[in-house]
Amino acid sequence: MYLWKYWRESRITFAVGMVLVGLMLWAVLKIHPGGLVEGDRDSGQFNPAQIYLVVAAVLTFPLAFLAWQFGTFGVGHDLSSGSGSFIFSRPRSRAFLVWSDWGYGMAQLLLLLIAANSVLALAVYRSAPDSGPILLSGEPVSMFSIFGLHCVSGLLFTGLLFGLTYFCSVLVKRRGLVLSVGVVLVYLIAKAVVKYRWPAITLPDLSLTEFNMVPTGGASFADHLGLDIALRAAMALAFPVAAQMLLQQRDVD
Amino acid sequence: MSDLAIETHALHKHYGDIHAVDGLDMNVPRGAVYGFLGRNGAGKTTTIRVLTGLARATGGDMRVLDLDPRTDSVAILARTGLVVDKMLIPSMTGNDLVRFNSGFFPRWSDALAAKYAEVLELDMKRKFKKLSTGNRTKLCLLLALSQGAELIMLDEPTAGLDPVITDQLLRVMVEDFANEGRTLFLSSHHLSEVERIAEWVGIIDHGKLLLEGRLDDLRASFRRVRVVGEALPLAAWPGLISANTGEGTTEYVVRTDGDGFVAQLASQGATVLEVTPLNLSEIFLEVVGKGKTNVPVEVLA
Repeated sequence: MYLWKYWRESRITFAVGMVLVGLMLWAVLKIHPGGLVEGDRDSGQFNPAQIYLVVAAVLTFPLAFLAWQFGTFGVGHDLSSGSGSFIFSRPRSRAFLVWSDWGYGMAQLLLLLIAANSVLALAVYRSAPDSGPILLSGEPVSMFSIFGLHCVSGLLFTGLLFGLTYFCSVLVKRRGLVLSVGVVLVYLIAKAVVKYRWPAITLPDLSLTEFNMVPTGGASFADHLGLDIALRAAMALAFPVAAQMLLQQRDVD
Repeated sequence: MSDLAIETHALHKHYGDIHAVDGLDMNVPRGAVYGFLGRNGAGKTTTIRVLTGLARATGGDMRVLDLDPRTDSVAILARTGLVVDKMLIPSMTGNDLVRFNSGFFPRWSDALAAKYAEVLELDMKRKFKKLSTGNRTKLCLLLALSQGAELIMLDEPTAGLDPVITDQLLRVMVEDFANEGRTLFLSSHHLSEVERIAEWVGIIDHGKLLLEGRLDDLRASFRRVRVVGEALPLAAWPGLISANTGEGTTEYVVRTDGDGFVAQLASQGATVLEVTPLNLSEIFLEVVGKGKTNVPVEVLA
């Protein structure tokens, strides 16, 4: 029953997100001047990794918007609207409430990612249905692997923003979204400053780098991809854990 | 199983330097209608929040339905109907809130919810945010009363309600809860309402329980004694709460043994003009010491 509340709060945003992602995906696939899905695989011009990178970059904005919005729902929303005492006096633990919110929000984001990537995969497949597996640095890789990797990458990125916003909403109640956006902006500025002052140091990107692009136009899986995914997953999970701990220590008012 | 629905011992809740609850010792019998009385800021709401796990106690011991709110708040909340802030989910209608709330409580009664909606004259199709203050309060009460709870804790339940609805509400609370062996704990400073339905009262001020007992016992024991003369040597009488002099008379309020007190006055040559019992409102004013000479009282057993 608790999830029903989250669904009620987020359903309009979710629907808007679906439309937004669909429109942007359609625009990329139809309007991009390079004709990304219409390259010639045999001549080496067809580069699915590049397609995914372009699509990922374009989808970053609507997905970030949705992740930020989803983070403001749930108990943070209740605390800011004054109904915190009501929600926290239902017979459920605070951990239950946090992880229900988080699980439902992540499920919605995953659904959006799967839908977007399915459309993309279908478009790529339809452009060259008989060309066999995709080659990355000469190694054949199934479309399914790239599809899965891209969903994971998107989920880690949106999960990070979603979790951060969720935590900020619990922390400061009414200004959670502003704080979350502020934190991301400060990080991006800090990253640029560090790169400028100390060129040898590179702070991690907010989103996962799945592929190493090589000068010849080819691509390979990024180095230490598994470790990178694990660390980002830990980072994304740290925020709901922190939100839970904060709520368990704090009085509800 | 304890005979007490709620018991606290030396309960403390501090917010920095503010001692909202300051060594509260309280015993609420199972099945009682208990009026928890106090002025604004006396610590009533904070006490309820601590007892239901919404706020963490700074110190002391407490049990609610034989459970410790610090570790078993979920189990307590499953058996307790609570109204504390009178703020529900703004975007939901009354019917939505009934649907939402019913999923949490296995003993939820849709029949009771429908009955209270009718008794309290509630428009269940209207969103909570569009309801008046009084109707918001009614909806909060409806949810708390329909969940089949063993213990109902209501913080200022009649605030914002008109006299007709207040009357109906008090009546159904007595019919549906007091006679069912369930415990009704209501905090209020509307003394006449509490006096109408409560069997037990506790009076809190500055976070301390100043008085607790059966209402009938309190009415039977408190006496106001007016005598001719001033400055009689009785300040040390054990049950004396206040002594006020003026215009050639002295007015005493005693908590216990009024007859003995009158006899003592007579033996000292005082002329007793009248001895009158006190109602709850007068007892409350005496105990919280409204600017008169006040002697702290002990909690009645």
